[in-house]
Amino acid sequence: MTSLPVRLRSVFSLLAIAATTACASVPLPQDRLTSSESSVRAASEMGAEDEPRAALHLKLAQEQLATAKQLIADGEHARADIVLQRALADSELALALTKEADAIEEAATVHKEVLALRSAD
Amino acid sequence: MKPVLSILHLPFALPLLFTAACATVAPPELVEARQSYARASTGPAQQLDPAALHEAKTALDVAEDEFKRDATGQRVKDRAYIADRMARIAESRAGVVHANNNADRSRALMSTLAAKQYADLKTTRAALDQTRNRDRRTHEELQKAELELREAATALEEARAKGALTTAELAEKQTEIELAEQALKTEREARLDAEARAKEALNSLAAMAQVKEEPRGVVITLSGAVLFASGKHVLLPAARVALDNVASVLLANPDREIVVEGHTDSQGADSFNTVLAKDRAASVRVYLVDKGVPPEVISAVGMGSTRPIADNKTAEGRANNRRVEIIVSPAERK
Repeated sequence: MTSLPVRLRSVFSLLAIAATTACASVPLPQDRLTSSESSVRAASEMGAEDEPRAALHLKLAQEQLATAKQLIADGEHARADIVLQRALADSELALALTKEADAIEEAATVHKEVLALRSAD
Repeated sequence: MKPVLSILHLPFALPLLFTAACATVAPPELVEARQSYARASTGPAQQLDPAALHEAKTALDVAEDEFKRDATGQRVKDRAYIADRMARIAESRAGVVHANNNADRSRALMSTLAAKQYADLKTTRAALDQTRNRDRRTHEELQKAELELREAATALEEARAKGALTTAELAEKQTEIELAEQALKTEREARLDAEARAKEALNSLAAMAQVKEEPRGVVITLSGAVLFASGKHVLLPAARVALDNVASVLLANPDREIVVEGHTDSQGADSFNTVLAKDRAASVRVYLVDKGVPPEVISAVGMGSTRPIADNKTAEGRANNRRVEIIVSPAERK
């Protein structure tokens, strides 16, 4: 009977140590951080802010990037990693939407030229 | 027979039943991810960007697995969020391919239409050259004929005044003068005809490019979308036909300084845009020189994004800013 509480205490201690070790063993997601920052920068340089659909996702990406950096500062690497993945997904969507808008506009420009040629024929 | 469950079991069974029921309700993020994927997989992405669609499916599968493991946890929401974005990326990338395909089809059609117009223009230009050559000779002859006519008319008046000629001789002189006047009238009409043909050449060009008179000269603006693929400086096939029209007009106005300016929108680094603009202007210059424009009268400069003509904040504005301007100086070269 007296050994049970001791065993329990040992088990709890081991669990606590394991939990702490698990948190500390998740490395800083440096590669993911770098990729996310690059992707956000690229979307911004492509003009995502000026494209209504893309602007929302760029903003989400920027906010999540800031959240992830705070989580890293607090040592919560595992959570930071998943937030960085969300930021990366949003920035890539912002980039894709900007490129799509530009491609549609370019196609419309060429089509206008065709119409102008046809009317002159 | 003993019942399997009695009323005594209910307090224990009910929470389990509720838990089981709640576990099958997907979080909104997963519902949205499923909808996004369903939309993407039944749209153009299936054919135009299957790789991106496959990545989206993989991400959705991860989210679904997470849902089975822990339906209410944060991880399933995170995975579903990412899966939703990836499905929408696949849709958007397919949209780019679709738009580019449309642009390529339009350019091919432009080549056909422009080739026909160019053939017509070539005929017009050949006739214009003939008339111009004839016109050059005719101008000197016209001046001489006008002088002779004035002298003949003066001499006739003097002779009439002095009564120095017979009626028959007077009539003959009068007829000669009338014939000379008629010839002069015919030559004047030929010159007007030549000017009209030159104007027609310019109008044909106006169908493919914007032509404006500005203080710096006649500015022929060609859209970048017609001349080049995105980010490139090699001329597209449709561009060549448009530039053939330009060359025809330039050659009809020799002895003018010509500047080819390359312009871009404001996306991307300034250094990249300046180089791209310069390379594009150079490509157009080389082509026009090949078509007979003397190299010493034509130069090429890259303006980058420094001279926008529209708002770079909109896709339409950016498309208008991506252009080549060919400026024909108003003054003749010295």
